[in-house]
Amino acid sequence: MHAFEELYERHNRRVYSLCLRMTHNVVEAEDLTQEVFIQLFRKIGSFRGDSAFTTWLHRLAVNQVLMHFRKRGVMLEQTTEDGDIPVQMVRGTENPNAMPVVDRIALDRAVAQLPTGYRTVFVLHDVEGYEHEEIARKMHISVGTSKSQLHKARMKLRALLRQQNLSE
Amino acid sequence: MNCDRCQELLSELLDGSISAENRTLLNKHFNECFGCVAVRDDLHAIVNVAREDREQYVAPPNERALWLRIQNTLESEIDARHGATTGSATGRQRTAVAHESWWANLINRRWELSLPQLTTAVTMIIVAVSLVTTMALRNTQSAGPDGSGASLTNEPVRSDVNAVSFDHDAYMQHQQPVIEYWRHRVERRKSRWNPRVREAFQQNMDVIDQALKDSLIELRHRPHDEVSEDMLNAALRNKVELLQEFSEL
Repeated sequence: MHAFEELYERHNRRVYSLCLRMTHNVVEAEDLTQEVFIQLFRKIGSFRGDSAFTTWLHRLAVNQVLMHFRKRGVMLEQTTEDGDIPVQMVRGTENPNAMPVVDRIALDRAVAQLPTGYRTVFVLHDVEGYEHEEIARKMHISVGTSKSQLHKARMKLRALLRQQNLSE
Repeated sequence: MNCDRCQELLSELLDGSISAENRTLLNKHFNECFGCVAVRDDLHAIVNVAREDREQYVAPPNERALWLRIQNTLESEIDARHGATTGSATGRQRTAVAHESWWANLINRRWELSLPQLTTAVTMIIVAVSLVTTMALRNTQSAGPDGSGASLTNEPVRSDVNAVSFDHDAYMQHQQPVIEYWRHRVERRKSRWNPRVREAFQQNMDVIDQALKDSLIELRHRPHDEVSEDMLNAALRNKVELLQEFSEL
């Protein structure tokens, strides 16, 4: 148990941060972190060293969060046949200077307001560095839908950041 | 190129997956439209900040308390597993400690035996050991093919994407003897339960069985889906844990 405690101390922040980014809920993120480490304890024997331990743990954590979303019934937002979501495009012609300088806190606040499906794709791709193919496989969507969702998420974030700027 | 088309291509431009032809068209459009240039710069800034965020980690509100929660869960899990397999052995140990002085007296006594007495004693020991061994072997065989009898095979469903198609039904069948072993124990206890305990057991079992069914259906459609494999493993583990828990009641 002592060795496992060391593993926890070394990796808990990484796992918790991932869970928090994906859920934007402190309680859920804590519960999921707990579940990830319990799963890690059970599965650590199956780690074969084919990839780095952190990569393996990261995948375990992502799977745990996606499993949680699926259990909770959180699916991707309503999409049309080609996977698009009818979102109003933010045209850059209105007031190009209204966008604030993006900082982490402002972006974090905006990400929290994204619908779960958008947020999941955005966090997995832009923050965690996953490729569209892997996101599509994990989320049971097409690569095209993943790309489309990411683009919509980025545009939505821009709109949210502009709104934040206007309301401050 | 109009602004709508231009903005549709911005993510591809940022991710470097845009074709040379579209890149040329975009650059041409940027020379004419400051609005789209602003959108491009904004998205670029968002992506950059998000990528910087990758290596920024925050600590859980109370790291220590979270560890204690995890530790408690794991220790109770380990205890439950050990309790199921070595429960009777521990009981014998306790009895042995209680009778230590009696044993000490017995062992420290001087024994004087004749040859026929000694021969009879040795024969009786051999017969007793044979009987115990036979019974233990029978118990092991009836407990399950893996011989554990009390715990679910710890080997989870494989998650190797490159592996040859994995037969999840066969995997379920492989786990079945362990489940049957615990179910049998639960059945023996069931008559002593009050209706509320019986109802709670049934409700939990229904939820787990549904989860198992859903995961198997999902895996038939997508045999390599890691999330469904994890859900199948979790449901199987939950089922055995539930049976183990209620077999003690």
